[in-house]
Amino acid sequence: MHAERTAPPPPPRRRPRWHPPLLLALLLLAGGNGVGLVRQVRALRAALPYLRTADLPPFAWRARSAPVASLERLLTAVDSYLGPGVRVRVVVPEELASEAHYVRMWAAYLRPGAFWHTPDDAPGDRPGDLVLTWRRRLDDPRVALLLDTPEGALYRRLR
Amino acid sequence: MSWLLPFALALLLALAGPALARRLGFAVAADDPALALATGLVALHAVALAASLAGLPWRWLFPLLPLALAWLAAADRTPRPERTGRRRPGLADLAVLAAVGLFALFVARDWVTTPDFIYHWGLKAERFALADGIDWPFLADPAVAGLHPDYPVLWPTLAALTARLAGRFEAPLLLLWTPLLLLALLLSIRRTLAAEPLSPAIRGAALAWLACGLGAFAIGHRTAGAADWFPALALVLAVPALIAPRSAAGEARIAVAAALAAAAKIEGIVLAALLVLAFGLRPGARPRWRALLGAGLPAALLTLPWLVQVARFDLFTATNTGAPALARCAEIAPAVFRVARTPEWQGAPFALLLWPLLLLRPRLRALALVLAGQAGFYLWTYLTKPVDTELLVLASLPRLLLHLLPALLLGLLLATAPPGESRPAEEER
Repeated sequence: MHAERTAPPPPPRRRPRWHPPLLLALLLLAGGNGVGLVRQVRALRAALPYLRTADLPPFAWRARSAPVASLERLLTAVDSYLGPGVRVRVVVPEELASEAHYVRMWAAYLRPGAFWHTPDDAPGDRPGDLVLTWRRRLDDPRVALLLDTPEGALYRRLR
Repeated sequence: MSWLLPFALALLLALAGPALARRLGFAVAADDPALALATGLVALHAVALAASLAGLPWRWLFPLLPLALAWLAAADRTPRPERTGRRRPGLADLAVLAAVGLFALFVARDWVTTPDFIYHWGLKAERFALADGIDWPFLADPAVAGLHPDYPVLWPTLAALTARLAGRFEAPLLLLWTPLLLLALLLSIRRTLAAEPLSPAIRGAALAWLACGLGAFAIGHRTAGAADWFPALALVLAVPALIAPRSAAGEARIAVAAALAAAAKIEGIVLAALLVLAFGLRPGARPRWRALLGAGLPAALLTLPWLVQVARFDLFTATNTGAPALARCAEIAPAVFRVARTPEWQGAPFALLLWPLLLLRPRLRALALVLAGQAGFYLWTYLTKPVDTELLVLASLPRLLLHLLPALLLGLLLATAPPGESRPAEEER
């Protein structure tokens, strides 16, 4: 009780001010951003059907889009070969060669247990390594076909 | 019901984090949910990092961690301070809930996932979850050099731990951390505004403005799963400590903010250093060197082991830096202008031109220094990175602006608001 009596009173708090120009500016900004938020949501909803179904280049793929679903089907088909630590080289159609990295990263994201490579980024292949071709077939005597699917094929490197 | 897991974990961390920090001597405020969550995230990351470095599988932590967290939360006998800087919910809070709720809805349906989560953060999280710890050999694989193996690992660690607790790696579930971070950021802004002598209408309009703007960017730019929310939250969390005289509570606030930023991104390490230095420049009774030490220690303790591992496994990416080339300015300037006009940001980047206004108010100069230093670091990166500069700016700047703009807009608001007695909670304890 003694402490309460001797404690200094709290400093008086200045009465809040309305400051009309600032309030008006903030209301305008808030309204503008509110409209912006609605526009972003509508734009996204409008774009989604296209993003989902279009055959976009790999860097523009998004979850559950048609190409990702195609890759997922291929991976599901070859799942029994993709044990932990297996090295898999991803090969894509020649016209997408410059974007093989993105296909590889999607494959890695969808099946993280394996080690995924592209023809450009890893040291030499070893016998027994797998080669996964998406929307492409290989005619190469150094690999043996393990599985063929409508989405692509899986090969094993021979030497 | 597994979608509740990030929320439950966040709640547990927010309860236990400050209790642990107080036991370690940091005066973390008990009535700031955003700061409490950040403290919990930092503490969890410290434990997970230490376990990984010691070769301890994370699964061994799971029976102990919830018990330890619950014990810490229950055993915290720190008297709750008088509630200051609070106000009743208003229309602006509805705007906050709407922005966060909309974002969470899209996140839960996997519609706004950042590509970086696929190519970078999420893949690391999956590997960490499989390895039951931070998978350094995976990061050292030359085939994943494009994965930014040298980045700090708070976000993949948090996602991996959540996935292991959930029993599966389900992206939408893990991505719910991002709306939680947006919510924490907006709650922190709300609390800072509440401590200012502003009319409720101005505070409400300002909060609604920032909530709608950040919500629009979060959705429009597809930011679910981006690590950029951590430095953004860290800088906003630090604002009350940067605009007040140095105090024990401010020191704890900066310590948490700096540690959160440093553990999340390389840019966050620069931000952490700037926060600690700017805080050290503030006037205060405590010796400056002790304030610097106290504010910087957690960030240093999280950064040094990471740095050792980066050196040990040779993870540093060669394209991170190079010789500066001023000729790149010719590519940078138009690209920055294009980014400033990006519809997702709705003109907010042009607020960078108003940065000098912060200098007009002495109490905002530390914040101005941090913002200028961080923006200067990004400019330096663009001048030195030996990659396609225009593409780099266009691809990265919209995200990097997220680190700066919430705190800058908050600072500008404080700069233009009528002068009065600011009473941030830290000043009163």
